[in-house]
Amino acid sequence: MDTAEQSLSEVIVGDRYAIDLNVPMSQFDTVGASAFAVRDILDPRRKFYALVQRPGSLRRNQTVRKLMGRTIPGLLCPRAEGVVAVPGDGERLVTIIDYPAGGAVADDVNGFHAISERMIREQIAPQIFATLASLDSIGVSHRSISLQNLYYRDRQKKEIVLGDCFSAPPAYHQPWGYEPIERVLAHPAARGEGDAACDMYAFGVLLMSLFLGRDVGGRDVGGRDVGASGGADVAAHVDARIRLGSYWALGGSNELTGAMGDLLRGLMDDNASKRWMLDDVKRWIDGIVSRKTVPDQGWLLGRPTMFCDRGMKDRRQLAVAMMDAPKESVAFMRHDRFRQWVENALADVTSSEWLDRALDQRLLNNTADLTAKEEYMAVARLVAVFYPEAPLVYGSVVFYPDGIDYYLAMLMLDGDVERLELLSDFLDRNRIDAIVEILSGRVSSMRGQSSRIASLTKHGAAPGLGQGLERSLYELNRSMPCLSPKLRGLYVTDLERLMAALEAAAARGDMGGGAFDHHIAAFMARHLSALDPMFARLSSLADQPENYAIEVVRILGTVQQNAYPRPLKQLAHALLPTLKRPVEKLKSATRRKQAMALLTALAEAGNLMRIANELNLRTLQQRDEREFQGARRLVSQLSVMQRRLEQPLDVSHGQVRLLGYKLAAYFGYIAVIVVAASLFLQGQG
Amino acid sequence: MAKPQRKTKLANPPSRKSAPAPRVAAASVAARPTGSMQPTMRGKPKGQQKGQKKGDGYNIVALVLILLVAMMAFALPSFIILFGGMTPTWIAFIVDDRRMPYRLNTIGACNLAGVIPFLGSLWLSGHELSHAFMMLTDPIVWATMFLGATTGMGALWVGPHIAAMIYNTRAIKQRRDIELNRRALIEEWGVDILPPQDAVDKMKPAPTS
Repeated sequence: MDTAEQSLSEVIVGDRYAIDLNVPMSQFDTVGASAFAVRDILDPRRKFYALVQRPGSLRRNQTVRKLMGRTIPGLLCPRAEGVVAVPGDGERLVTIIDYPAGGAVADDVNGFHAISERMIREQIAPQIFATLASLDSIGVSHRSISLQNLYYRDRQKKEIVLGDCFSAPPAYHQPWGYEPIERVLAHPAARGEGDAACDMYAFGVLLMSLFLGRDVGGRDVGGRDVGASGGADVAAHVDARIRLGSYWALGGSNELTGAMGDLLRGLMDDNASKRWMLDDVKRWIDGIVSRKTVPDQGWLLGRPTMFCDRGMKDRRQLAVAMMDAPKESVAFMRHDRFRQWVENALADVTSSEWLDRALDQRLLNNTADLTAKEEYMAVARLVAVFYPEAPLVYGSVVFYPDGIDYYLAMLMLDGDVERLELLSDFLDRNRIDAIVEILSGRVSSMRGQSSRIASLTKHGAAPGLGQGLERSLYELNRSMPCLSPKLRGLYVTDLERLMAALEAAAARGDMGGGAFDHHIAAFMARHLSALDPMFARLSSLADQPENYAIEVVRILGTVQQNAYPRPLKQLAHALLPTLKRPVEKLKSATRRKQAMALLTALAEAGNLMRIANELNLRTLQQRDEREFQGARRLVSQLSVMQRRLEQPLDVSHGQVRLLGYKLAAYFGYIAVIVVAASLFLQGQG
Repeated sequence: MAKPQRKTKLANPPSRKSAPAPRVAAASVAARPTGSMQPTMRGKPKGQQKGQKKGDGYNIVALVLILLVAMMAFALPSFIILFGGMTPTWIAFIVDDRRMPYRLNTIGACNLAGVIPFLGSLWLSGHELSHAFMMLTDPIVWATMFLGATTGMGALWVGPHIAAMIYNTRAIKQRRDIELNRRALIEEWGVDILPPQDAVDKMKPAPTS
């Protein structure tokens, strides 16, 4: 490759890292980013790779911020980041990460040499423990601990490192087995940030895989490879783990005894409060075995029941089955003996009054067929009642509140209109509040999520520009770049860049369909709250195109005043045709001409606020209409006058005769004067 | 807090140009005869105007009679020439319609213009009664004096024709002004400004002559 070609395919980040876009490193690809080779210009001996973020996909920015530049021996940490122009793809966010020189611990996850208990106790578990302790100390949960994401840092394969944990939504790439049961049920992008307990569970599955020499977390109960997401089998997978417990379901017939068995059983306990945490592992490494005594979660039903011809002993099992069968769930809850059964079955955790509220007595008593959305809501209530640790469920929308931001971004990236509509519907205050009320106080994962849910309900179901799910997306992800298709190829994270991007788009002539779309409006409103009432006013002007156009300019002008103190000539010129339309409707040609001249002059100045303020269209239109009516009356009067003047006058007309006689009289007076004067002169002569 | 008042540059459009008001033309047209046969008398109530007019007429008659009696007493030759020569005027005075005051004035003035030369001749020849009677025996004198009255009658016939010509000429100019104003309004406001029947033939210019 000659130098010119190389420079075309190479982009520089932070004046130090040269990313070679011709050398992909697909083994590090994630759903959010593509990996490429990196050359360190300052120190060529150091090895890195680059993750070029895909547009619209969410990076775990909080995590990146906490890890940037930090040295955690057991983790591939980000070293630098920057926005670079990738040829053909536009601006992209790039993260430079340590390169694991020793490669993956398990090149083939389906078959590798099992690692001995001694090796695990002395080498691997302490290293990963130290890494997790470091992460815990800075409040980060890794959420991507799996065999596929485990590497050797050095060529000698002595140091183990966990791979990238921030370029994709948390746990997105986690095979089912590596996720706690309740989190598996959510959409891969909506599994949520989770907590240290999630990491500890994945740590247990990882150790079990290393110990057994096969990836136990990456396979379903039948031994088939399931990857991170799957179809209907997820229900069977979860069902098996609920029935057997994750340790037995994933470990199969391998009865692990001794200290290793204690560790894995402790880490893979499905009861998060009973699960071993870092201090338990530390004790285990030191040779002490912990025994945790915690209250029973009450998963077993007080009275087993039959649902869809299957016996149900565990309320989690019943809830999971209900998620897949909404109609049957509604029929089940309307059964004569349901109320009595549920009070007995959940006697230890609920009261009768609480059940009345939670199960919506109105639905129970109603015998009419429910709409699909009513069915979804009924199932959402049932799942929340029976399995509060489960994700929120509404039809095919299944998410954890702490993963809603990634989920929303993913749905938008995929253009999944059906699920977005469902989500928007679910975010209606009545629905989400009912579910939150059922869950409050019963599940720890809901703690700290109230602000997220408040943000979702405040904006998510609200109609109009600047609101909706787009607004929720930007509210939940403060550093999210604007995903508007109008800004394709640009990485816009603040209003200044947005205005610059709109100016550039206007210069290219890409402003078709107006300056805003839902993304741009939501992005603006998120970054400048003063725009909220303006967008509300804009929505109310949808049927008044003239005022709508001015309001658009006013909003852009406000943003310009606040964030972009430079002229926006191209944008102003791009908006001119829309603004000219109402001006062209003015009836007075002079006023029209003056308004056009003013518009053009203001556009040339590039000050959008001045356009909005000085072109007072409403006043202009009112005055124009008033004067038009006046002129119309005048024309009518002129027409009447003209018609009158068109009739010729003759001598029979009184006034004509009067004037004629007056003229004749003057003639007579003149005659008298002339004759008398001439006679007098004659006499004198 | 009160909102700051926005500058509205275009809130005050040029009303003179945008809605030109043809005031001159309208005033001119308003002065055009409306068809009434009655000349308007301004400044006084109608009843009072009538009584005043009647009184004036009687005053003139009285004045003329006083003059005639005085002339008969002190200037009989002149009285004879005037009384005879102004016969058409006396007849007009008797039969004339008082609603057209200028008719009598015209006939009287023209008749007087025909009589004055003979009155001058009478005064130059010593203002003799015999000379006056001699003049009255001359048919040329009668013809001359009556020709004056006839000229007055002619003027009364020609006058209205000239007046009609003046009015019609002025109407043409006024129509031209109105049309210019109308066109300016249409140019400013567009054809929507026209009444529906005019809009049909909006492009057809109104006849200017």
